[in-house]
Formats: sequence, structure tokens, C-alpha cells
Amino acid sequence: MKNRLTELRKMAGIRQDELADALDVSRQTVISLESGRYNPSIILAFKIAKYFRLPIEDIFIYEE
Amino acid sequence: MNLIKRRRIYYLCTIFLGLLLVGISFFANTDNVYIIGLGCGLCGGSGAKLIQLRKIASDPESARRFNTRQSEERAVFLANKSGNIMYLLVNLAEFTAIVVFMFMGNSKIINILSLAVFVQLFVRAGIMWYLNKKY
Repeated sequence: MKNRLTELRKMAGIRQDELADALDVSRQTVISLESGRYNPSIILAFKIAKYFRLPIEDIFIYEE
Repeated sequence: MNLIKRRRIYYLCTIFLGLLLVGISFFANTDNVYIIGLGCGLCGGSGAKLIQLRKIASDPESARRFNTRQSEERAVFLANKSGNIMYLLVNLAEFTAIVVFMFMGNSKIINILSLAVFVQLFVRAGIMWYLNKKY
């Protein structure tokens, strides 16, 4: 699954550790999410969507 | 109950267990040096962890970071995954040991190892059955 997390974070002008604090996760988790090595749970995906005020499908792109 | 408090209780219990082992080795008048060694090791290791936790708990920012680091979903995912891999490797090591002892003709150790493997597989199957019913 691809995501637009890096792009959205840079558009919002925030650092990885700031995003991590806002989502209650570690900076390492944000790094893993951005690089696509780790897929978030549905709860974390909702948290991210809520933070950026976007629908989940605009952030995470599901590929078969 | 928060994570730091739970960890404190856990380490207090291990200190108590360590003291119990040291006490047993004194009062039972045993020659077994491993019991007192294990007891001292438990006391020392857990005491160090308690001091560390006290320092973390005294600073709210450190406490928040500690809680995040320990309970965030990726940490839990990694802990579960490493536990699964460890289980497989332990099983593999046990099977290898059984085969090696079979060639050496040591039936006593083979019996103990076989029982340990059986209990592990039985407990795993039981937990899988329970979780299957629950979820």
C-alpha cells in the first residue's frame, strides 16, 4: 500500500517528530509509514486522516 | 493502571522472588550456588530497572515518551512478530537437540525435551483454539 504521508507532511510544514507527537506514535513509526515499510492499523489510519482533515483513501492508496 | 505503574509492580515482584531465592539458599542450607546467584541476579537487575523507571516517572515528558515507545502499535506489532520468530527458532533448536541426543543415545534428556516440545505445542494449540473462539 502506497501513501502520501511525506507529501502531506511537507505541505503542512511539520517535522516527523511533530507528526509523531500529534499521532501518539514514535518518530520511527512515522519514518516507517512514510517509507511504506509499515502499514498502519485502521485506528492509526483514521488518526492520520483526521489530523490532515482528508478522507483515508486520499492518503493511503491501495494496490492489488 | 498506567504502564510505568504496571512495570514497577512487575519488578517489585521479581525483587521479591529474588529475595525469596536468596532466603531459601540461606535457610535451606543448600550447596547449590545457582539459587543464590539467580536470586542476586533478579534483585540486581530488577533494582536497576526500578531506578530507571523512577527517573523516567519524575519527568512528565520522559514518561510520555516511554509510554508511547512501549505501547504504540508498531512496537506491539514488532514484539509479537519477534515472539513468533523466537518460538519457531526455539522449536527448531529443540528438535535438533532431540535428534543429536538420539544419536548419542541419551534417552533421559530426549524424554525431557520431547515433553517440553509436546507441552509447548499443546499450549499453543490451546491458545489458538481459544483465540479462534474469541475473535
